[in-house]
Amino acid sequence: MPPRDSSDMDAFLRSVERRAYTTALVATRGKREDALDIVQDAMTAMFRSYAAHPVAEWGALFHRVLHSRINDWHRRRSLRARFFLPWFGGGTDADGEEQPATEFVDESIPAPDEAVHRARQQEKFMRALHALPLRQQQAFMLRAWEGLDTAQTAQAMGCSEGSVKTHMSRAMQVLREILQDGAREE
Amino acid sequence: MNRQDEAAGSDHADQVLLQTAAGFLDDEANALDRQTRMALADARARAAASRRRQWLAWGGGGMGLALAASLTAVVIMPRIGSDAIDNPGNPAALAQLKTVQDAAVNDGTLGEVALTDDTESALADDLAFVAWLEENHDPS
Repeated sequence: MPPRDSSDMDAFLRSVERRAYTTALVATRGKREDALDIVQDAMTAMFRSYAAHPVAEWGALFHRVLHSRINDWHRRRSLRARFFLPWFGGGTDADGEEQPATEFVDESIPAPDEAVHRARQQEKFMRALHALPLRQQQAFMLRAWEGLDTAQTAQAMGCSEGSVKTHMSRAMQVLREILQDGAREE
Repeated sequence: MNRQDEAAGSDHADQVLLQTAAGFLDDEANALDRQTRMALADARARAAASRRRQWLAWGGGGMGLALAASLTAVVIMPRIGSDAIDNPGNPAALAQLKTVQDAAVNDGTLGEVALTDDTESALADDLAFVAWLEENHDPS
């Protein structure tokens, strides 16, 4: 099959790259270079493997590729931490998923601006989002931000719809409490 | 507050949370600094370049295959054809020999068979011998 005009794919990727980078930045807990690498890997996969697919499928494919790359990144980090940084490890939660290790806490996020209520809320929210376990993060961002339904999110995450609902529910619970606490402090 | 009201309130709170979260995330994505935006554009360009390299590699492979096919047609196939004549055990060669023999013996046109190389000379010798046998055959 002849290659589709690469400018179509270029335009598509340009339209999603900022959101993809933000997603990767949250997933890598603020590691900019790693987030860029993940996004570039996903873009390369789209150009090389999926350019011939129908344009209507590109969105779902890109989410799938991006979150697959994010999962790979976490697996590599987890493996490295297990062998080289056991004293920093955060262990696993009840689902057997990796919990954020102390080294993952993003200290690069600037202190909240006292003058702007929304900015403070946003800071709190982003910190909480960064601290969520990966699968909860992914479920929340795909559902709440990308607007995918449960089935599409399950496809992008490579898990069952039941898992998506569980992760989403837990993420909502944590983030709701964070935002409510922030509102009370105001 | 009854259960229905609680559920409705919870749904409303969830909707507010989702909208607030989406707004925060939009702000984060739109507030990326110039350096990051340039890095993303660069990453996209490199991804596109990798696609072009992939097609070049495939194109090179295709040209290699075409070259190999041409070599096969020009060099190897003629050799296989001559082997068929050189090799007397080859059925195709035997069939060809029998056809020429029959034509020469039946029509008496042995001398008209074109001879071009040593192989065909040997064939002609064989045919001449057969013709001699035919001429000197004594029915009694």
